[in-house]
Amino acid sequence: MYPRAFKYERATSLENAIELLSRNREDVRPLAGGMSLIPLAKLRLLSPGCIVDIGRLSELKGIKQDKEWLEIGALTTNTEILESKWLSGSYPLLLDTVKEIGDVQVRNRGTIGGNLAQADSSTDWPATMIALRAKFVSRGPKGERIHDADSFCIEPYTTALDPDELLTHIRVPNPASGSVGASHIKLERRKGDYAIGIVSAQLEVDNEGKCVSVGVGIGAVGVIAVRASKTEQLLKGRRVDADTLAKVGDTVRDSFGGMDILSDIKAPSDYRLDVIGTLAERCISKAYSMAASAGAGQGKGR
Amino acid sequence: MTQIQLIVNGKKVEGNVEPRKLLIDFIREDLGLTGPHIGCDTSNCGACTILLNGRAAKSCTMFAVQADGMEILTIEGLATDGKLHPLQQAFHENHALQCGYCTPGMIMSSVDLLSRNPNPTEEEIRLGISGNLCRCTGYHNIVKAISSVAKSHIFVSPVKKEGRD
Repeated sequence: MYPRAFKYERATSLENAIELLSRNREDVRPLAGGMSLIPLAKLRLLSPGCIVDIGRLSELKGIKQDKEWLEIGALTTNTEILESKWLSGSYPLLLDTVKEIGDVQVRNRGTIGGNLAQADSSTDWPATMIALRAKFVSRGPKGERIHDADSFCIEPYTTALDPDELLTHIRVPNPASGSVGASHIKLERRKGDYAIGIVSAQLEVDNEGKCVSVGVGIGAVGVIAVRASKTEQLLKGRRVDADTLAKVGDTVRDSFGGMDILSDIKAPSDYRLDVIGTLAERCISKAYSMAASAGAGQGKGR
Repeated sequence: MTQIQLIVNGKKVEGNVEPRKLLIDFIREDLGLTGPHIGCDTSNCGACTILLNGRAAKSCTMFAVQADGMEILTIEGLATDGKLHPLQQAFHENHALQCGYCTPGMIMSSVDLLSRNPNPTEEEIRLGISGNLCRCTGYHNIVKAISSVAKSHIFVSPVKKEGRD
C-alpha cells in the first residue's frame, strides 16, 4: 500500500535539516534509512505531512575514535558498522550486536541513529547502548544536547528528542582495560523477526577474574529497553561462578519495576519474563568467559 | 512531482515521480523492468531486492526520490552479451527455483553476498539470503547453486570495489 501523500524535503546540511524540521515541526518526520518509517507509513500507522530526507548528510556518517569514546555518526549504516575496522578490537559488544540485526538488505539501508530514534524495545541497539553506557548527542534549534542511553527512550516509539531535534552521534565509552567480554543474545521465532527477549552484556575483569565493570541491558520484554541494575550489582566485584550465575535470572526479572511487559501471539508476557532469565544466564556466562580468557591472554603477554 | 535521475543497469534514466512513489513501482511501472517482484510489500520477503550503489536493498522499502543520483542494478542487468551471469546459470543448473517468484531477489542478494565474501560457508550463505523468502521452501537447491558458484571461483562481481573506512 502507498503511504499518504506527503511533502518531501531533502536536507542539504545538518543546519538545513534542523531548519526544515523546525519549519514543519507540527507534523514532520526525518527519514534516514527508512527501515522503520517506510513500513509504518505504508501501513498508514504513521502519516507525517512532511518528510525531511536526511539520508545524504555526510557529516553524520562514519566512525572515529577519541580518547574517551568511539563516536559513531547517526547515519552510519549497520553494514558500515559491521565492516568497520574499529569493531574487531575493543568493542566486542558492537560487533556481536550489529551482526544480529535484521538481514543484509536491512543492514545495508538501516542506520544506527534511525534505529535508536525509533525507540523500539524489540530491536537490537537499545539494550546494547544501555549496557555500554553510551551517550547520545542531539542537535536542534537550541543547540546541542547530550543524553544518557538510559533516559533517551521515554516510552515506546518516543524519545527525549523534540520534533525538530536530530540524533547526530552515538558515543560508546572506550573500555578501561583489554579484559573485555561481551555477548548479545536474543530469542526470535525466525531470523529477522521481532525478538521475544534480548540480553546485551559487557564485562571487564581484573587479574583475579573479578568483574570490575558490568553493563547489562534488556530488550523485548519491557515496553522500553531497561538496565538490569540488580544483575549489575550482583556481578560487580565478583567472579562469575555457578552459584552467582544461578541468581542472574531472578535479578534480571527485577529490572522492570511497574513497567508494562510486552505480550503478543508469539510470546505472552509471563513467557517473556520466564525466558529472559535463561537468556541472561547464557549471555553473562558467555561474556564472562570471554573477558576471563582475554584477561588470561593479556597476563601471558606481560 | 519531483524530478529524479539515476543510472539503471548502466543506462541513465530520468523520471518525474510523486515523492511517495516506491522505488519498486518506479522500476516496474515507469521503467518497465518487471524482473524485481512485489511479494509481501511489507519489507519481509526480499522479492524486490535490487543492488543500490552495489549493495542489496529492498526496493519496496524505499521511495524512488531516495535513489536520485544513485546506481541501480536489477536482475535484467546481470547477464552480459546475452550470456547468463554465473549465478543465473547455477540457479538454472541446480534447479534452484520452483515457481521462480523469489528468484530475481534471491540472485541479487547472492550477488551482494559473494561480492563481499567469495568463499562463504553454508551457514554464511543461509544467513546471507535470510532476507529473502522462498515460499516453495526450495532453499536446499538455492544454497547449492550459490555454493557451486563460490566453489568453482566463477563469480564475477558486477559491483565496483569501494574504499572502506
